[in-house]
Amino acid sequence: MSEKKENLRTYIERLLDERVRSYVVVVAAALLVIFVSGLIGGSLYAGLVPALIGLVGLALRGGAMPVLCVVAVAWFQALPFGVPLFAPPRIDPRFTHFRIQDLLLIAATMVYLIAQYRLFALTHRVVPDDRLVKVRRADQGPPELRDADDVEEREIPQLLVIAAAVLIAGQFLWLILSETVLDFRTLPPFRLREGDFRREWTYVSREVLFGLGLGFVLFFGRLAFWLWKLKAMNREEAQLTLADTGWVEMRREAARLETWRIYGKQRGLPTPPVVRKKRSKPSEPWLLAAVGRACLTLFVAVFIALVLVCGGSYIIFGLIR
Amino acid sequence: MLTSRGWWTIAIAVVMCLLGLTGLGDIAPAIPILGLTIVAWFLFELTLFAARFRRTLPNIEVTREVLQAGRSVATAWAKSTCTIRVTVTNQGPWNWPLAFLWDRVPEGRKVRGGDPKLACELRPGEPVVIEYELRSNSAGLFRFEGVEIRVSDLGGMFYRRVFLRAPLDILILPPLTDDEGKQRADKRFNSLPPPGLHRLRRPGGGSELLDLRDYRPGDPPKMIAWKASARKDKLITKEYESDVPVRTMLFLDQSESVRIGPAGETPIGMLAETASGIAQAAAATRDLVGLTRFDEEASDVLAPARTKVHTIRLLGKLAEAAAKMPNPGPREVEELQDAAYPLAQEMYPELFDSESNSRPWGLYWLPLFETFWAWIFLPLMFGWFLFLSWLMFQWAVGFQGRAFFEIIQFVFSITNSIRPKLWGFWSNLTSLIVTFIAVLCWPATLCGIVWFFNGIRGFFPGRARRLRRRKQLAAIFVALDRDSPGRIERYLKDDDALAERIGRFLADHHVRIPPKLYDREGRYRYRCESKAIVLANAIVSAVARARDNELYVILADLADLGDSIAPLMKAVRAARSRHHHVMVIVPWPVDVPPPEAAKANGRPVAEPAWRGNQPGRFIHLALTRGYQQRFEKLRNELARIGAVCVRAQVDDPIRLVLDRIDRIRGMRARR
Repeated sequence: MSEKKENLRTYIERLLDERVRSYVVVVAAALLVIFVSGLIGGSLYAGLVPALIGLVGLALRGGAMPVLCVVAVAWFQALPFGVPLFAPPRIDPRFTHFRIQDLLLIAATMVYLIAQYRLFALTHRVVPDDRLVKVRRADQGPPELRDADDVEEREIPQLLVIAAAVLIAGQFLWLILSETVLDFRTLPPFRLREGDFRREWTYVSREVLFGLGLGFVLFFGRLAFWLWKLKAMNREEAQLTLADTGWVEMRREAARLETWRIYGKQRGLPTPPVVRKKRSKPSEPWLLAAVGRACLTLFVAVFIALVLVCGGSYIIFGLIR
Repeated sequence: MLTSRGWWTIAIAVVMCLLGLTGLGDIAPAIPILGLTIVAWFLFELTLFAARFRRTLPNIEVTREVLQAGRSVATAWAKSTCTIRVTVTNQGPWNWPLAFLWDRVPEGRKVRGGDPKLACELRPGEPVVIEYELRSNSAGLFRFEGVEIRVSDLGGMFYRRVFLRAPLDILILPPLTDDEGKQRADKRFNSLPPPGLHRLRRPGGGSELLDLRDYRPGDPPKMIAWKASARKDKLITKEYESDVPVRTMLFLDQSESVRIGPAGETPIGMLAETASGIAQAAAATRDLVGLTRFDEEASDVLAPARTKVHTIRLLGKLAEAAAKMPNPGPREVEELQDAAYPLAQEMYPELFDSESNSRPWGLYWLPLFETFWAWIFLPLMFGWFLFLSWLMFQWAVGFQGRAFFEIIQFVFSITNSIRPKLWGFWSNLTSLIVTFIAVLCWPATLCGIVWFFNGIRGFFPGRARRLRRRKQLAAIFVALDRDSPGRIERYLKDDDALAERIGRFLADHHVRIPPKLYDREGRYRYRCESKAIVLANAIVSAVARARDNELYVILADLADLGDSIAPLMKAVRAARSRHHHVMVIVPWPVDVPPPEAAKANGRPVAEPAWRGNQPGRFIHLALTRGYQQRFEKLRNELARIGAVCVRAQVDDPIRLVLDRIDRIRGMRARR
């Protein structure tokens, strides 16, 4: 039996493991809900295609399938029949919060995404191999998996709670972004959206608010963890940070010193005996070297002549005057 | 920190957000909501993971035990399996849902049982145990570096790798000989004195009568032989033989030449094993055994004794010698860097963080004036500006200003033909001025262009990668040595300094890199001629200290010494002249057949025909024959002065040495 078939058999055996099976059931249920919510949206494709992609990913360990499934969900939301047959009607975003069909679809998608990733960790691969390529090639072992014995019963309820929490967070974020607009005439420079704004400005406003919000969260999060890291760093890390900072400050000076030091060191080395090799016939590099030497000699001669001519003419013309 | 899975997830979510927050959100609001939801989930998981990582990492403890025969030991025995038990405990308050532990197996050793890897959840206060088995075939050292921990979230979107360093050196003592091994293989003498004792024809406190002599005042009355005194009519005193043990002195070669080879299969390991067998067998018969270790520079002596403590100390010294690493010698720094970089990356992952181990852009830029040919631009520029100055001077003093104007006109004509034609007056004027200056100062322009193309070469992938790795390693070495920051620049510029430090780094971690056996002139680099002098001095010292005729067992690689062996021959001759016995045990390469194998019925066996397209085989044959011939020569020369030369793996050296001890004992007994 080939290795691939063997791997597939092991994979399926792992899927059917009673401790892993609960995740399989959750993934399947989430895909079913995606399918149904697509159907509710009025298009068979909108439900079928993402569900099929998810099932293929489940059956064949496709690592990219969860992301593709999410993309498919989004695609069929924008184009229910997969192709732009007609221009879809515009909806006022102020009336799109906490809609049942969106809640259902997004909750299912989130549950699918989280459960499928955890399932991959149990059956396919968790941590990528980040070693150097040649080291990795030399030591190829089986992919690292999470031990099925470590799966706890509370994981599925926790997963559902996380999905619900982020679902609500997403809705609130959308609420904030769609109901707020930037207005630099006020302080703080945003306010609730009232009346009919220019559509383009609304888009820009949303994008800027999203960027600012994300940037704010990332900046302060990064700052907090950076401070935490500084507090918790070990001796070698601290030593390295100090040494590296010192090096950055004195790099140019040190480079100059070291360059001259190496120069002096090489000058101090005993000269190796020159081994003269017989040359049967002048080769191309020899010719080039000769031409180069001739050019260099010519250049130096011209330079000296120029200096002499300049100086001489200056003196002679001075005398004439 | 992010896996490919994490990258794809956040990338798709952000794209969905950005598209959805524009017009797409007005058509399908589910798209931005889904994107925002995934971003919120991602940030939540990221925060949770980072917080867990920072909170739990400093609280993880690693303890290690080496078990042999069911109990914890500080040193292990070769040729017997030992169990390595590593306990990892999370002492922090938070659990780590998914961790992959890997206890780094000593370099070059194979796991015989169990698994040094473990995937687990690290719960607070609950120790996790890794158990596996190791076995070493010869004396040496197990160097345990620590435990690698790779942590991940349950979905595998984030991961971090840390290495908990807990270095531990476990000395592998040479194998213990069993009861059977301690006995001589054949019994040559039926009447042996008590174990460890033999009689010496020198007056002493033994029980056998040696001689009768005239009474000297001070002799104890009990020693008077009354019958003989009555017969001779004068007082005669009895003299008894002296009972002394056989003293064996082992000379162990620990020079570079015997350290070469894969871990656990080095010649010095085999020699140490042989020495251990001899020492244990001699100690079993209460003979005294001493040890002299020597290399190219010095020797150290462990005086002969016969206690158990002494034997254990001797075995420890043998193990220390067997654990020594070969000096890789002068190597290309890139070669060493290629060996050291993966090791450093494995063991110091946190020191590769770009925040603390920075790589500024200027690092990669190649300075122009570090090349010798760049200096050609200086006279060029200098000459040209001098020429211009001279023309300007001519023009300024109103003398022959035509040449200056002609030059300026020429520069203008070139400027007009090559300058970029732009729209607008000011842009055109700017381009005109810039081009004019560039053409007028053409050597400086040329120098600038060359400077740019020379400098940018440093950013090309191959060179940039090498330099980046070199900088990272240099900074790590400085941090480990607590050196000054200027040392980083020295390692960047000075190949010799970096090569030396990398060599030390590899030796510290007991990583062997294949040595280069031959130098550029084709000479064998590991002949170690000077060890013959050191060994000769050690033998002469032993002879000077000797009390009785002793047995000197030299365990050394002498086959490659050639004519440099002369001082050793002198020393052996001196030892033989004092009636000491000398045996030489030479390690025999595994891939070289013994000389007898190449002969059948005393005639050389015809080698299979060598064909011209097998240069490797030809070289191997030549090296093999050369080695056999050198060994034969050595054996003949030693035999000529009465010393025996045997091979460590081919002959049975322990048995031969024990036979020789018996012979010494017997010879003395028969006198």
